[in-house]
Amino acid sequence: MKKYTSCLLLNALLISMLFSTVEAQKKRDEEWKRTHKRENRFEGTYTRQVGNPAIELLSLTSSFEPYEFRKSQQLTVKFFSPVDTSYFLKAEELRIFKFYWMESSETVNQAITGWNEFGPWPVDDWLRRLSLTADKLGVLVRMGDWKSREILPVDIYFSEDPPVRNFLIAQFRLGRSISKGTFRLFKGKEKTSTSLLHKGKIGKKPGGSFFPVVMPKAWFQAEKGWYTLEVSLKEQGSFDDFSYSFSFYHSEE
Amino acid sequence: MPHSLKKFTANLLSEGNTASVITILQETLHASQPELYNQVIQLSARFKRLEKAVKKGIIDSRDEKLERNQIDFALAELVQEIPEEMTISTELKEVYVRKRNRWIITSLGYLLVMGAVGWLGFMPQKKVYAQLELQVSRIAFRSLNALDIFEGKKVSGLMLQDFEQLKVEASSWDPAGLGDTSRIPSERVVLSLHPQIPGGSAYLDSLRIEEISIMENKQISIEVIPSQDAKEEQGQVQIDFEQSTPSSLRMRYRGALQVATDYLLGKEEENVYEFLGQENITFYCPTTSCELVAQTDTGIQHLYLDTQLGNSYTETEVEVSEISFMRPEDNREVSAILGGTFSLKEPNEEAYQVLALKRNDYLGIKPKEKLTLTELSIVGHEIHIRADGYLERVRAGSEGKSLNPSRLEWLWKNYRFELSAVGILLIIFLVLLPGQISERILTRIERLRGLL
Repeated sequence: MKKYTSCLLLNALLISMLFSTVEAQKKRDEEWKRTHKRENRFEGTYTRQVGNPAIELLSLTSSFEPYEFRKSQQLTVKFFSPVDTSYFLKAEELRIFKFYWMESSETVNQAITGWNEFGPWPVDDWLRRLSLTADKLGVLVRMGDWKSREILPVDIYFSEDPPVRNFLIAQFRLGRSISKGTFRLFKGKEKTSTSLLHKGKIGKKPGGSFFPVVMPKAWFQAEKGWYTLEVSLKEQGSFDDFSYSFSFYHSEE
Repeated sequence: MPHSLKKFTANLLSEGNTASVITILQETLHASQPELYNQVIQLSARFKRLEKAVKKGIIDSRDEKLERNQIDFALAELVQEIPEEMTISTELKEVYVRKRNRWIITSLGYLLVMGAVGWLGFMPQKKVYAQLELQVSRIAFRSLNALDIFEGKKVSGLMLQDFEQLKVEASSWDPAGLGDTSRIPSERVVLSLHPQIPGGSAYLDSLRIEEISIMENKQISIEVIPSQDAKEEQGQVQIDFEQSTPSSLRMRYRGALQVATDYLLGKEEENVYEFLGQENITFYCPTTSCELVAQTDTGIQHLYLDTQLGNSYTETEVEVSEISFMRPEDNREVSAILGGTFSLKEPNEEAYQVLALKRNDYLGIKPKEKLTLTELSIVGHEIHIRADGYLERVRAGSEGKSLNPSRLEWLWKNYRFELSAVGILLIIFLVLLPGQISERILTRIERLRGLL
C-alpha cells in the first residue's frame, strides 16, 4: 500500500509540474524586440517609442517610390550624413490604425560621412500583411538616438531607376486639434529673421490626423547644409499655441 | 520449466523486492537448506521489526535506511550461497512476476488517470460564452456584415484625407477665399489629392451625411474625442476603415460650403487649379441642397467628423470576428476602456464570473468564430457596447492575465451533476485499480501474448 501512496504522490507532483505554466504576460519592449527581430531591423505591430503628445514629426522624405505587394520588392532607404555618426531609423503609419512599427537594429545603425543605405526592407513581410502602402507610411532617420532633432532626409526606393521628386515632404501627426498654424523654413540651425527662407500657412486639422509640409528644392537655392523647419500651431477651442522645430541636412547642390 | 532460484531471487532483490525475496526463500529453503533457512528466518524477523518501527514512527529515516541496507546486504550474501542446482517452480515464479507486473500496471494506470485529470483540470477552456457591457473611447473590429454608418447624420465639419476625387455640385465658387465669386458653367468642380503628396486633405464645413458604406470583412475603428471643454456636447468622431474595391461617400450641403484645402488640385471643365498649402474655397448651392461625392480608392481610409455627440449614433446586430479596445497614445497602445462589466456565463444562464472594469483596465478578447455587437452607440463622449458570443481567449488586467477558466472549473460551473458522477466513478476506479482491474488487464495481456 505504501508503494501505491508514493506512486500517487509522485504522479501528482509530475502533473502539477507539467501544467504549472506561467500565464503569458502582456508584451514588453524587450520581448517585443526579441519576437520581432529580423536580420537588420525590428518590425511588427506594437509601438514602443514615446513621442510628443501635441505634435510629432513622422517622416522627412526626399522621395518614396510607390511599391506593390506580391512582387518581392525590397525597399532600400538611402540618406546622406555630413559626419560619421550613429543613427536611428524608424517607420510607422502616418495615421495609427494597424499599430505598425519598424526600427533599425542596433547592429546596423552606424552611418559614415556621405551616402548610406539601409536595407533590405521587404514589402511582402509586415507591410503586405497590414496592407500598408507607401502613402500611409512615414520614414524618419535621426542622427544619434531616437530623441535627436537632427534629421537626415531619406530616399526610399526598390527599383534601379526610381522616380525623382523636386521637393522634400515632412509629415507631422497631431495629438490635438488645431484651428490654424504656420510653418517657417530657416537656413542653418538658428531661427533668425535674416535666416528665414520661406513661410506658409497650415489649415484647420483634427487631432490624430497627419499633415504634410512640402518644401520645393528650389527653396534651398542649391545650397547644401543644415536647415531648420519650425511649425507653430494654434489649438482649437483654446488660446494655446504650440510649436515644433527640427533641423535637417540638405545634401543636394 | 524450472528456473534457477539463485538467479531469480538475485533479480528480485536488485529491483528492491526484499519482502518477496524473504517469502520465496522461506518457502523453498526449509526442507533442503536448514542452515540458510535459519538465516532467512532471522532476517525475516529483523525485516518485520523494521516495518513495525516504521509504521509506529519510532525509527528515524537514517536508521531505517541503514537497517534496510544491512538486511538487503545480508540477503544478497545469502542468495550467493544458494546452490546453483536449486530451482524455483514455474508456478511460484509466476506468482511473483505477476505481482511485479500488477504494480507496474497500477502505476501506469494512476499516471494515466492523473494525467487526464490534470489536463482537464488545468488547461484553459478555449470556448467560453461571454457577455460584455462596456463604455470605451475607441473600438476597432473586423465586421462580418457590410455597414452603412452615420446615415442621415448632420456634422459641423468633416475632414477627408484619403480620396481619389471629391465632386462638388455648385453654381458658383470663390476659389481664392477673397470674396471674388465666379460662376461654374458645368455646375461641378472636381477636387483631387496631389498625386505626389500624401496627407493632402479637404476640411468641409456643415453638411449632412447621406451614405458611408463599408464592405464586409473589413477592419473598422471608431474613436470619440471629446472637445477640450468636457461639458461641451461638441466632439469628434474619427473613423478608419479598409475598402477592397473603390467606393464612394455621399454628402449634401445647403447654401454655402466652406472647404479648407491642403495640397489639392481643382478641376472645373478644362481649367485646373493648384491648391498647394492651405487655401479656403467657398462653394454656393443654387437649390435646396447640393451633393458632394467623394470617390475613394481601395485600402485604408480616414474620416474625421466634428459633431454634436449627444445620443448621436446607434448600430445594432453587427457580427465581428476580431475586436479590440485599445487606442494609440504617444505611440503606445493604451486601453480605451472607460468602464463596464465582462461576464462569463452560458447562454440564458446566470453569470458564474463577473469582472467589473474601470477606466484604463485592459481587456483583450478573441472571438471563437464571431461575436455579436447587439448595440454599438455613441452616447455623449463614450462609445457604448453590448456584445455576446463564444470567445477563444480572454485576457484582462495590467499583466494581461488569462480569464479563461480551467476545463475542470468550467465543467464544475456548468455541468456540476455530470462532473460529480464522473468523479465518483473515477474514485471507484482508482480504489479497484490496484487489485481487480490490474489483475484483469494482466490476464488479458497474457491471453493476447498466448495468441501471438
